[in-house]
Amino acid sequence: MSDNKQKVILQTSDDEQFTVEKIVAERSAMIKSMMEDLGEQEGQAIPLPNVSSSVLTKILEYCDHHKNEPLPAADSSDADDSRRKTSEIGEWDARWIQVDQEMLFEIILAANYLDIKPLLDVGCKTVANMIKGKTPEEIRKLFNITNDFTPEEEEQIRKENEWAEE
Amino acid sequence: MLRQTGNDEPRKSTTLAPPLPLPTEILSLVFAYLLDTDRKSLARCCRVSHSIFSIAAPILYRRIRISNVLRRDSRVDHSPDRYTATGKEKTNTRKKKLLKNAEVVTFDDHHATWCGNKTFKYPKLKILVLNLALVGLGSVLHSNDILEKQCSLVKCLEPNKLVLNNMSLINIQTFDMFGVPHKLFGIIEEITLIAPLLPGKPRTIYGGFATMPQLKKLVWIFRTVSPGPRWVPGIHDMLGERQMSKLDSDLQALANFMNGIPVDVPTFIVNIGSMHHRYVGEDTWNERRIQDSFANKLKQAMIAEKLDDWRHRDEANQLGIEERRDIAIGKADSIQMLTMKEYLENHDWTGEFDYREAKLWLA
Repeated sequence: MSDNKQKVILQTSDDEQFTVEKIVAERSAMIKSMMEDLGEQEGQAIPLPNVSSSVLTKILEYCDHHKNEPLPAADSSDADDSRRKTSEIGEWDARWIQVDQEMLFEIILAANYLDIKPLLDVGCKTVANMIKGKTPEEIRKLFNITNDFTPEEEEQIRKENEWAEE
Repeated sequence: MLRQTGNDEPRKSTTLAPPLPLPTEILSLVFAYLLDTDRKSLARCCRVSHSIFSIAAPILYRRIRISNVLRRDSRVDHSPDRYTATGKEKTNTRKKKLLKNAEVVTFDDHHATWCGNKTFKYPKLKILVLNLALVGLGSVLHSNDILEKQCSLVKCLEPNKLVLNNMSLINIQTFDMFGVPHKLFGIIEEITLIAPLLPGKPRTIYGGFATMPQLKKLVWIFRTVSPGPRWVPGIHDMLGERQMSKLDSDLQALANFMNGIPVDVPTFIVNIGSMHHRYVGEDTWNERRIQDSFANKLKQAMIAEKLDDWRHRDEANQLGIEERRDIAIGKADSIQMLTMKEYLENHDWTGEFDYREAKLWLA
């Protein structure tokens, strides 16, 4: 389609402008609907006040790699959900998302804001994988969370949820 | 020994809750993923802090199992009040609240003391799984009209989807004695019947369920036996008795059941291709061919059943043979035969398989 070569300008929170192929930018359901709203107003930048240029650079890498895949339906069904749940993180995605934790969280927040479902999925699965097999104390350390349970409270919750820890 | 405080989770009103690493909605997605893949880790998350508990615990309780078989074991007892060898423990209101998050509830059996327990409430219940395997130990729920009306537990069960696990053809007629209340058939929109991994001795049964006026989807899954949940040729012989002579009678029972399902209810038969090729007169281990041959045999059986005047006396008086034949053919042709993989990839199988088993099939 000749349409695919069309460009769109994205403007990040730190006022950097990115000129991007339309097909790449459309991975973001949010940008896609904004483009539809703006119509044919060529050259007008789409502001992304919640995304920094470093995060957008990274995300555009992802969008570019996946640009030829079918877009998830706006109202994805339950079957899609269960399919997504069972699918592992792809090889390329797994390598691509090997970033420090701060960047990982920013990518997830941006994916949520930009409404890129498959990317949000990859991010959440990555965080879940970080949690797997860890003790509560290790999870606290991982996310820098202070324990506000008394030892008694913690033990009581452990006992109550014993059924799930088998 | 720790005292059950019976209070809601204690709050520290003076100190601010520590900030979360990610927004609540995103942590919910992470925890929902953990629920599917590693429940153990999700349970440990509940112990991290108050604020994490408040997000993780409701997700952990989305899927619970209620069982009386091992009722002294907290791992399987999710009645709001816990019963011990010595009597009733004090109600834990925190747990009571959490139990209201249950979306998928599995029952192994029913205990008489639960009937009077007014605290059962499952407002978010979507899928009810009844495990018919442990039936020797008592009925799963009440099916007796009078008991059903009295039982607090049965009253609060209003699922959209009903999963009957370890369902063999014999259960179809006798579901009453296994304690599946009539009420449930009246409200469900989807039903999944899962054939047992290791069936007992099924017999040909003519019968059917109570009417299911809301039904929008029916799935019958023939689960294969060990060595592993994968498609293995010839591992399945419909209901377990490895004799060709049984195929016809089992087939007849299934045909009868399928004729009773309205043509506009999408109907799926899953994994029938795992039958021994000999049973359907094939000579190769080809899943697709076994499946097709079975579909053809089922169709013939459905036509024969439909044309049985004695069994369809009313219809026989009203409709001609050709009309009845067309009805049977219409239903038979609408039944979709799927491999396990096709089913798991394209349908919502929550409550039917656990994630690990599904992964094996999808591998």
